[in-house]
Amino acid sequence: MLEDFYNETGISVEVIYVASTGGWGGFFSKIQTMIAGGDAPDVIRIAIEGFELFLDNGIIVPLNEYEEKYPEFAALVSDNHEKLTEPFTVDGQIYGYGFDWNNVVTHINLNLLEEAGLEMPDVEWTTEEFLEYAKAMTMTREDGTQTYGVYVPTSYFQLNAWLYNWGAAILSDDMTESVINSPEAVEMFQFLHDLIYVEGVAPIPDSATGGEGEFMSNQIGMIFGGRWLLNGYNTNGFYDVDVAYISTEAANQVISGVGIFPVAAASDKKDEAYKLSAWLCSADAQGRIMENGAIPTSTSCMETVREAEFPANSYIFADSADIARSVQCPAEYADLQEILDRYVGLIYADEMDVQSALDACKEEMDLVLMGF
Amino acid sequence: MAVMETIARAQRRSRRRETLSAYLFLSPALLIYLVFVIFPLIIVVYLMFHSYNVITPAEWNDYKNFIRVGLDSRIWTTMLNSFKYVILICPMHIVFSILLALAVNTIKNRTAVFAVRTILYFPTLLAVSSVALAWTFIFSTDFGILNWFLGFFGVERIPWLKSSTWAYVASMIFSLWKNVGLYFLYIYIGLQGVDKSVLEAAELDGAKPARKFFSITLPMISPTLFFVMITMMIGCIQIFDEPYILTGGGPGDSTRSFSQYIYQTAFVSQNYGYACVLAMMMLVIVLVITLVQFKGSAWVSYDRD
Amino acid sequence: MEQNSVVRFSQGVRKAIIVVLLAVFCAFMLIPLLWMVSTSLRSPLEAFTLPPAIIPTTFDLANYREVFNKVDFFAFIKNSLIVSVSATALQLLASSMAAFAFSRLRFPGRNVVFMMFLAALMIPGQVLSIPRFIIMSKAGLINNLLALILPAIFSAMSIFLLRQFMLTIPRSYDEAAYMDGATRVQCYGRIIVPMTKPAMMVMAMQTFVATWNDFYGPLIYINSVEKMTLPLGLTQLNGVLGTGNKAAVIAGVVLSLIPPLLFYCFGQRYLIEGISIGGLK
Repeated sequence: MLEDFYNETGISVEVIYVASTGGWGGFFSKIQTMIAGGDAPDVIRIAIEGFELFLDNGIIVPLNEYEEKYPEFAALVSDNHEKLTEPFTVDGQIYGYGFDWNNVVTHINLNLLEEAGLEMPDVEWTTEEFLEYAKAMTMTREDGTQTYGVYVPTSYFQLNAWLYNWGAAILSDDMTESVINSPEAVEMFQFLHDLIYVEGVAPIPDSATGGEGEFMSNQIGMIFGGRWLLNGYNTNGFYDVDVAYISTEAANQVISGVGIFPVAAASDKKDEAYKLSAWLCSADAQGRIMENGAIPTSTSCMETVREAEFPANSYIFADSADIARSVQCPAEYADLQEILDRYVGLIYADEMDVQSALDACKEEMDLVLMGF
Repeated sequence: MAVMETIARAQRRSRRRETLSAYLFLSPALLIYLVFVIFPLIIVVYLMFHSYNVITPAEWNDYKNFIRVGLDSRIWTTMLNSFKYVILICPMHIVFSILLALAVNTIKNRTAVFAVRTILYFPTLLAVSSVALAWTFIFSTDFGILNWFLGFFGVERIPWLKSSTWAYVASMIFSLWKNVGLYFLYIYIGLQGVDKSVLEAAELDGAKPARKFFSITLPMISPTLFFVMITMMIGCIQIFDEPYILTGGGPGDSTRSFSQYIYQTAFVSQNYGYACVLAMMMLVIVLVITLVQFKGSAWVSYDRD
Repeated sequence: MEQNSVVRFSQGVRKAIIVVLLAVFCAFMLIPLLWMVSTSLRSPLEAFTLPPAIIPTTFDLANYREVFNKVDFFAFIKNSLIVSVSATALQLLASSMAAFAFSRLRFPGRNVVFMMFLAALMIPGQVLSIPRFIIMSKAGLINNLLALILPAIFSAMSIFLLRQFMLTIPRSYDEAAYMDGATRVQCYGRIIVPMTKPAMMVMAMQTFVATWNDFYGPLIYINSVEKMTLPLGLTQLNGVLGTGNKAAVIAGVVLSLIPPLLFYCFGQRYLIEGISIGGLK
């Protein structure tokens, strides 16, 4: 793909590969060590999770100046969905164009659904309906194996998505304090906890594959994830799955996490870097990476996702752009994620009650946000 | 008088030559040590007094990193966890590796010895990251092999990785599997150096196996055993892999080791200056323990002049 | 007479118990390995089901084919071999020389230097990684295999182990050699090193395996796919966001085990050779 960029602009690009193990944390430390060593790349691939951190530390530059200089490149990204570019505009300065994005929806195993004698629910459904489904898909098969209706959400992104649907959030709107112990949030975590320990419809979340492996081998009925899960389905030849939104408690709201290619402040080839950044986010370039399991940000490419045959309800990936709300990632994101992970772990292990875990969680998050 | 002086001078000269050749022998290791250990360590000490997030230049921060040590209760939680691992894991390895080495030593068949040695050593060949998947699958509460197997004996499902007590048992099992082969091999090699004729003589005198072991074998392998104990202790107090791959430190902080906390402080919280202070604390603690072990090493018998 | 047969009988029982216990322990060691191998031979959907398949029942080589198709396996093997072989050889040389000095020579600063070396084991490795990265990038060694080899040359662990073994060699050996007019280098090369062969072999295996499996070093220092060593290269099988075929990842792991295993089998000979030397004395 970068060969085309070279042919069109005469700029050659060297790609630095960072291993995917270790998640975004591993990626950041790699980029950080490179910057510390004075060896930073010109264009960096980051997601919203790292955006504020990079912005705060002056690693990336605004692109407005280059937009005026190279209108033909700025035009490349003109049909990208507005809502998805919003998070990267700060005080009128734009730092990057959305390249791809993802959300969190409910993935339902159609084999288990059939075993339980159920039909696909509406894409918009209620918590009560969700619980019914989870109970029905929890079965002990004739050969003694046990199935579970649902694998509870564990990651920051998944939990943030759930909280939005319950009218709660991890942080306040201006992201200066934690609201993780709001009554709505407590209620939600109690609900998730009870799925494991009261209803018995969810396993303790300690699977080696985060539930995906068991989902594909028909041992779990529902998991939560975005379009990225399609990668796994495709490599494993598993197609008995459809999607619905996360069940609605307070509002049907979908989370968004957008990836961009900002230009590094340390770059001495900012003009070329800008061209690459815009070119990569163009509808044309996005169209070529459609199979990678993300959702394109370009509205014309989104049409392709809407019409995709698998999964049947694919259209919700595209439609959700209009009701999307960005995941809450201030510069202290890495710390907040670690804190949330720790307390949610205690809740799911049934070693701390929900209210006190979330109170302690809020307290620690607030300390971090105050810059301690 | 003059003769005495000449001898003294010759001795001094030969001592100087011995010193010179000693340092020549040391030089390759010493050079790499200075460049890749001491020099980075100097940078670490410098950063202890600074705020450094790796991205922006280091900033002097008025001993804030040190003040923070006093306020940070997670240091003590995680350090205590590390000691728990030491107390649980080290004696287990010592006992198992000695027993295994003695047992393998009684086997006469060469092929069998080769097979057993290979099986025991094999897990140490594997990268921890590559066996993580297998072991989390083994320990998983609802989908794991171990609980499935225990189910036949009517054992209730055990939350191996999601309970602050069972997680330590899981760590012990994993550590035994992954590391015992190496310690076994050290002791086994040590046993090869034990003079067979002495043992046979003792046997003729009617010495019991236990007595033979404690009064002949043990002293003769004591330098090896000493090495195993020191390196195991140093390794174990810095335990990282077991909690990192099995539990991630949870639930909460209940299985998080001090090394893991240092790692997180540096690379998750990007608080590198503070991580340097914690690393220095670790260095001091391990150094003290090791020095105590060296002071108390009278039980180790070397052939010294 | 009767007592003698009782002794022989109880010895036989003891032996049988030892064999049974050893067999049980070996089974414990083997089961996870067998599971990994059988998983690598199954279709990914069957990989994580119960009852688990410990014994491989299907022989589907698709996962292995995927390893070779998806990544340049042989290039990674080559890089890994370059790093592991040179790091192991250089480290053995440097460590045995240092151990010789610590165990055989008297010089001022001996204990201090030794303890300082040992202290290198006590610093959490990850903390040194950032200063080391800065040094490497100033030295222009980023994306160069030398960045992986050079730091591995110093190993406090192997110096310590070799010193311990050299201390068990009776002094009379060197004295005899010096009487015959041998130099220190000759004493090191002809007497001490051959007598510590088993320990050297154990250390060589350790170093080889450690560098072979090192993930963190290459992650930080290597930037291009052509320079990647095996563990880093294999992460490409994980796919975008870790959604690749897990069974293929395990197949890659199984394949990557072959070189260290060969190295180990080759080293066995020296372990046995060392035993016979020990028997001579």
